[in-house]
Amino acid sequence: MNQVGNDIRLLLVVGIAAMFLLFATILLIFIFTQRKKLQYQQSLHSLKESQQLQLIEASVRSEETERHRIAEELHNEVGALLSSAKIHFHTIRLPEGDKYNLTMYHKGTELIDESIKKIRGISHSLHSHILQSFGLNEAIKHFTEKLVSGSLITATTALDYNYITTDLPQSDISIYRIIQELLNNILKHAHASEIHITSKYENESLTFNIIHNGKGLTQETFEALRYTSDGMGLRNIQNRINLLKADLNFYKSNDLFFIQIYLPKPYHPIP
Amino acid sequence: MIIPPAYNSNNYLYNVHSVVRFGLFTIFYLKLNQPFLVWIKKVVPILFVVFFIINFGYYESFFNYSQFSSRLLAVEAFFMLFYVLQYYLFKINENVDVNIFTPDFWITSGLGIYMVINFFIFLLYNELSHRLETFAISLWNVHNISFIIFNLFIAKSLYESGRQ
Repeated sequence: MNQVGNDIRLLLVVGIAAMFLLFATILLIFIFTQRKKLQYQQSLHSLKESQQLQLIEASVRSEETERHRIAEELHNEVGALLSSAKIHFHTIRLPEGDKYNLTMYHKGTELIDESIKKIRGISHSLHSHILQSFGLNEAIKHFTEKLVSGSLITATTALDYNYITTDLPQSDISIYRIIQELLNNILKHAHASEIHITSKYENESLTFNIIHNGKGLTQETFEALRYTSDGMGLRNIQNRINLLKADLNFYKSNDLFFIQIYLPKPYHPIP
Repeated sequence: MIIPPAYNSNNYLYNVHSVVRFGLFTIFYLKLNQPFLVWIKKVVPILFVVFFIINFGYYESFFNYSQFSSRLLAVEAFFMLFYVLQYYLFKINENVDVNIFTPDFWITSGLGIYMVINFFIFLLYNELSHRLETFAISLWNVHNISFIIFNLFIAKSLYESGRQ
């Protein structure tokens, strides 16, 4: 009787221990397998992300190269041709008192001058020499002034000159293009009469704020438009933002629209 | 009102508890909608009902005054362990979510711990209560501790569920 009782007791203790060990092993295997799978998925995801970024970077670089090429051709080829045409135009001798031809002559000179100016403007807009020579802050300032010159719009800048561009990194070109596109959009769609651009360089992170009094975008509208066929400019902005690992936020406060670009710390310019 | 002497024991409540618990966990695992061993999962409650009818129809009394049904609780623990194992197997084959520690994971793990500890206790309890009464009584401490652990896992699951 006592022997049977001891056997049952032994069976019980061994049974509980064996079951518990078995279950603990299954549980540990389960957790480790899931963790491994999770790590694998995460590495796959980051690989996809980096591939996507490489693609964006390649497209941004090729876009910049193409802009540079077009800008140079416009400036050197078309600009030179127009300048030559202007010189030839000046050599024309008109008979005294030929009022009609004189008017045509002056109109033609005026149009050639305007064309040269336009070609130069487009060429500079496509490839900013100021950005290359004087850095991001000067380029933004110059672009803003040029954008509103001759219009009733007032644009002011308060940029942080602690940020200095060295060797013109690709990221600065991207920031410049983003701001360029945003300002063009404000002018084209928001019909603002006042624009103010500020920047702050703090703890190696760079923040830009564009404030205007037009009819701007909200975060929801931007998110809805950025990947549609109509929003090509916005898609370009989003691609560059992704490339810079930056944050772009749109919001409205006291009848003013704010666009904030935040390049987080550590801000490593892409060489 | 005085309860009739035949029912003046709480032992049958363990049987009721076992049946209700099995029913609720069966619904829980079926509601998880895991497309894995679906057919077997649907057969398990039928097998349990068949066992219940045969066992209490021919071999044991549901309202036994002196003891609860070891057989019922052990069979319930066995089926519950099947549910627990099939859950882990399904999850291992499934694509991983961002978080593996989901509310259903905590419930299943708590249930698993409770059942593996108590399976042999339930299975041998009637025999032990006859032969080693003091040891059988002390075994309830093991059961109670495992039950507290089970409840902690359920609490964790409810907390996680609330956060989501």
